[in-house]
Amino acid sequence: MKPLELFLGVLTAVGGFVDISELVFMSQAGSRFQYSLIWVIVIATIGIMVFGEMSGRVAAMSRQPLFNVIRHRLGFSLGLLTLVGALISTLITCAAEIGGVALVLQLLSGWNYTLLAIGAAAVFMLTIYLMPFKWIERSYGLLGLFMLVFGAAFLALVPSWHQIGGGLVPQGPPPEQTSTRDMLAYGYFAVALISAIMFPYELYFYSSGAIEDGWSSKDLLINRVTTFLGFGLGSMLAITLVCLSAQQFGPRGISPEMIGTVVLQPGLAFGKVGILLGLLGILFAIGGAAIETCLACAYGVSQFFGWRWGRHKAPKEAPLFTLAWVVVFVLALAIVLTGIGPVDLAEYAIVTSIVVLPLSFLPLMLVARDRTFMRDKANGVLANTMGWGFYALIVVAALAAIPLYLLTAGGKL
Amino acid sequence: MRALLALVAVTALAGCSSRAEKQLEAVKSVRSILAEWALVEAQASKGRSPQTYADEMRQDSKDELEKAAKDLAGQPGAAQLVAKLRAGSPDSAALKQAADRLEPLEKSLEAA
Amino acid sequence: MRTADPKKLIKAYRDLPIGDRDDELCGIVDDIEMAETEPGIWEMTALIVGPGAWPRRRPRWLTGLLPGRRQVRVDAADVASTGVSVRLLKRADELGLAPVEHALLKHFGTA
Repeated sequence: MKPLELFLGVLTAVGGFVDISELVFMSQAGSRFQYSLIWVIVIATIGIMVFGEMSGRVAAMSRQPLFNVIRHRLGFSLGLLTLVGALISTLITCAAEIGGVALVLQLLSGWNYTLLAIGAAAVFMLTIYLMPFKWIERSYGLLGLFMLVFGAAFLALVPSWHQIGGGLVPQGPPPEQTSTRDMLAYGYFAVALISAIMFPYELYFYSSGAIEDGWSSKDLLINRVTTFLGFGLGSMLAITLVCLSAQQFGPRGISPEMIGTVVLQPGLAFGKVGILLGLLGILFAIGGAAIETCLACAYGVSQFFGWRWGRHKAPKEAPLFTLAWVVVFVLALAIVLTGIGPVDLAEYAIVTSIVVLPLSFLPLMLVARDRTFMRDKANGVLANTMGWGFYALIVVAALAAIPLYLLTAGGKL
Repeated sequence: MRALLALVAVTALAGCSSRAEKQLEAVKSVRSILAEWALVEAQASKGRSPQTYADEMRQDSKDELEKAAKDLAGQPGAAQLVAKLRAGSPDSAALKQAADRLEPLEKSLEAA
Repeated sequence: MRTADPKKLIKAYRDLPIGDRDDELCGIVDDIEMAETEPGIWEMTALIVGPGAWPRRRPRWLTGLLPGRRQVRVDAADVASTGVSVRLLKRADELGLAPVEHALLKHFGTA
């Protein structure tokens, strides 16, 4: 194990944890329900750690990425249904990220949104075409660490540790918000936060990345440290968004409708510098997510149909995979250019993703405990118990997602 | 005939509540956008935000208000207030005041 | 692989990724042919690769709608091993696998 490799892997996971959906939903959740949803974030983070570690371990031991596992375990038809669902939700997410990047660039430069969206998509395509995989991941992940300005703002604005601690205890909405409408909205935000943290594209990307990086049984410790420490620290950054919103936005009656509003939090602490660093952090965090979502789509299609795939190959050596990610960017850009805002797209992404989640995670659970694939590294009692426990949670969330979305108008009522 | 009338009544009621919910959604959205805009103006007036950022946020706020106000057709007072703010260059205090003026409407739509 | 249970045979091969002699991915096992080589003993006799095999998969009302009819038959004698994936004894283009991909590779000069 190389310490520098490990350190960079953790930092990349931290900087890459937050994407546009987390930005939007963490801020809205904190504003509306103060600290009372923090426990949901903690539980969802543990869930993504469990499944993230499993997907990395399966990839390292069996050399099979998640979509190969999905097809083999679910069969052709159910696997195809999962692929289609995953492509739809991940494509919408990619569009949301590209739109978000264009918005941030507009806030920084004042230039035209449409031209910035096209430019951003072009830059992402060039990034994937020219850079080796490891540096695609690392560059955006490390630059995403500008997001730490939110952590600094959280500390500078004197947080209420007592209330934050209270938020770690499983609970419902605050006592003054127990109407039916508030209960339903609380339920919706709980489901949305679970979905935002446990996005399936993260596991498609992570497991494929493990194979791109040539992981084997020797890399299981890196896998554990990256998922537990990286996701854990990333989640703490996400929790600061909730706390800042609870402290600064809730009392002002703000439930962020615009992405640019979120950077007012570091702005309140540090003025112009805070806003600029916040914008840069968001730019690289969601820029990295745009690339991840695009590659996740291309990985899924290529792995399902048995095409050559991977950025460890030159683009011309995996022509159908290359065509796939180019097409994904073009389609995502087309969605952005229809004029649907990134915040709305993020909402659609959240709802469609959670519905796909049970089908994506079930094959992973089945393979991770199979000794013919995993040999002595199959799930033990703890991994099995936690895995099935979180799986049950995901199923409940998936069933509740669409009804809650409709009943609460996407949390707006 | 009675069954048909009952079906029409139920559909009309569902439609009404849907209209009221859309108006509630619009009022909540408008109040939040006004509060966001107010905070942008407050920071800008203290020199605590970059000029480009403040200009773009002002324009974005006006655009978002225009979208949200489409569902305020049944609330002419609120729609006029929003139109007036969009046309002008209100300061932070005026925006906060406008958001506060819409609070009774939000409460009445919630109770409906 | 020889087994008394044909379902085990299907499970062992179907939907596994295929790597050729040069370790390059060249498709997924879409279906298999099998024969009862001895009374009560079944063996895989060929892998079927390509969209032409999809209409045989369930549910047929769905898979019958999917486009593509081309399929390649890979004889069992060309299969080197199986496990988490299938390994072949020949190169993909020698067996007619991944024709679109190979056409593109040839076009880009990387075949």
